[in-house]
Amino acid sequence: MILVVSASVFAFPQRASGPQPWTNDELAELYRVVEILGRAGLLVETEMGLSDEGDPWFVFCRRDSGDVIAHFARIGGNFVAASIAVDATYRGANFRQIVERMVESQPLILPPPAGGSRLLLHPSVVLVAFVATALAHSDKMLAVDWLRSVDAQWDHRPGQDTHAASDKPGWFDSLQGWVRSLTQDDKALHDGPSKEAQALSLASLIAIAVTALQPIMDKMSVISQAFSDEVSGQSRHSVVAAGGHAVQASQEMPVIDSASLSSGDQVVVQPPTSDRAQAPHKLVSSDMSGDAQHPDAVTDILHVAATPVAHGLASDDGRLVAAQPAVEQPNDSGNAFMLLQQKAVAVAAATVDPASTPVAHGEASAAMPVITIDDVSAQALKLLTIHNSSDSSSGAAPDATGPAQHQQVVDTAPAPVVVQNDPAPVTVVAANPAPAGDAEINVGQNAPVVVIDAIANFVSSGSHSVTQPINPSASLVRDLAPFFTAGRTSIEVIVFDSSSPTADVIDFAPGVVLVSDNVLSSTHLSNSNGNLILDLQGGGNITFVGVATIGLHSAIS
Amino acid sequence: MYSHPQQATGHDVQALRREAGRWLKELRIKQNLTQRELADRVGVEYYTFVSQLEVGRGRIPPDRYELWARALAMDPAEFVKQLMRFYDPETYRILFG
Repeated sequence: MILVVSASVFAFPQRASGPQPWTNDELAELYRVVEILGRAGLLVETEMGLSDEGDPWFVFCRRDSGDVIAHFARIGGNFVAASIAVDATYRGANFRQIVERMVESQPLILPPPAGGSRLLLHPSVVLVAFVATALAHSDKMLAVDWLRSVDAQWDHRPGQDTHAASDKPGWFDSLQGWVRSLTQDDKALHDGPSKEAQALSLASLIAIAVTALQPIMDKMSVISQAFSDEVSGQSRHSVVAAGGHAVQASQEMPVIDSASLSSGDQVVVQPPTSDRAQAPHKLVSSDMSGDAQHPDAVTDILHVAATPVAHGLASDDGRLVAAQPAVEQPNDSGNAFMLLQQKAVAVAAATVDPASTPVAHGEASAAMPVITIDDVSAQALKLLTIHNSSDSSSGAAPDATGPAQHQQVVDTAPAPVVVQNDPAPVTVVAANPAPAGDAEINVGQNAPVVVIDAIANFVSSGSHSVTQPINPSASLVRDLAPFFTAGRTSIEVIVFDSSSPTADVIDFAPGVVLVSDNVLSSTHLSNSNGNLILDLQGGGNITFVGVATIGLHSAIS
Repeated sequence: MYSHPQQATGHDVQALRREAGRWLKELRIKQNLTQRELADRVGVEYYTFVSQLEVGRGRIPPDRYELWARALAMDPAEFVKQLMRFYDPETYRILFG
């Protein structure tokens, strides 16, 4: 497998004189960092604004505390990057130069790629690592989790050759040294990292990012390849079809045009007005051989890229302004990948409207995807102690869920940035009564597919809807907001009761989220057709007490 | 990069930070300083950090309090006392009621 990287990603045009807001290209690059981190379960908030001179800045913040961990700016036409983890400020004419300077300043310690693939270090990975390093410096347990994850991935690589194995000790020792420097020196967390830690941190995080994010980079390679084909004239038919998806999305959702913004602009991003069916998304193999697979590939990558990023642009006077609809940029066939990124960001920005009101509707969603074990998130599999034996591509240990273990919400859930208005409460209408009867499944004594099928049936039967009104808190609604990914206007929430899970909101599969009854104001929830009780292998159980369909309904529309 | 661990968590932290940002901005404007000029006076490498603070993201690192106070023509003790109201409201409440 070859990772194909588009060099045009960083080919930003010459800037006009005087301060200019972030361009769509630049925002795409910054939000790609958010996306990749989010896919790895690392949730960050972002905020951006303009200085009193009109220079743009963009910060990454910890989602739990709001602390700023990395600052990017363009000052006088020069790009600046700083983070709490590295005692240096990087400057360059563009992101690419900043990346080059980051790499120049740190010795790169990269793991050999899995499966004999040829790995090209994408500049985005360096930016991701830059932010991830800051995140890890502010949370040493995260660093420990990463180390375990990377170790597990290494040891469970399929087709691992002797060269890779022999390279592990030195590389892994470096990672351990870095983590040790964090965990044994609390002072460094407060007074800044030691020089030794700094020397290792960025290089190690790049290694971690490359390894831990490998599956995501694999997926990115699919879209890169698809658009490379378009540019070269191959697979014309399928890519045109795929392009139709993108065009449709762009017509329904506003495109960010930060250049048209000025201090004081007050614009609300409207949610999509149509209720397009959400096709089940599947991963496709990177070694596609048929044209017919390309549309799926593009759809999938759109899904990947279309992170719900409801961002606020902070103007100098402290008010928040959002992006406004703008004329779509002309399609430059030589920069198709970039165009897709712009569309993806546009979709992302428009997906979650802080002013939107989620409401529940009783009918089953026509867009409800069929759940297979491949759809189930690593976090959910871990929660259910299920080993996805059908996943032969990752080769990861069943519990090697990586950074996701550390987060409450994983998968496609980078945090919306600024949510100013608490959405209204959600009310779920009772479903039609049906014969009662609990079902109990011993997870350890049944094949994983049986367990997943039981859960899928529980969700899609339509007869397990909770029969009591529930009123989620505003914070829960905010936690659920990221799951309304591009085009998805409803999600199925499985309410569970268990003392085992440490998280209250758990991504289960596309369009399906597990929510603990602990975070719902209603008590003693039930459904008319009985609960589904899952006896876990390690002891204890999880009881699914009902299903609620929650739709994203705009109060405006 | 200038940072300090959060000492308080809760839904009002961001609101307090925004309030602090507005207060800092008022002080800066009162001194007729641009964000760049203030950044120069307090030794900040990238002046957009001032803009970031003024919209309520991040906080002034404690080892720069005196610099900031002088730049904004404030008595350091009074400056820190006011900042504590935003950054560490619980301590402020205990100390000053």
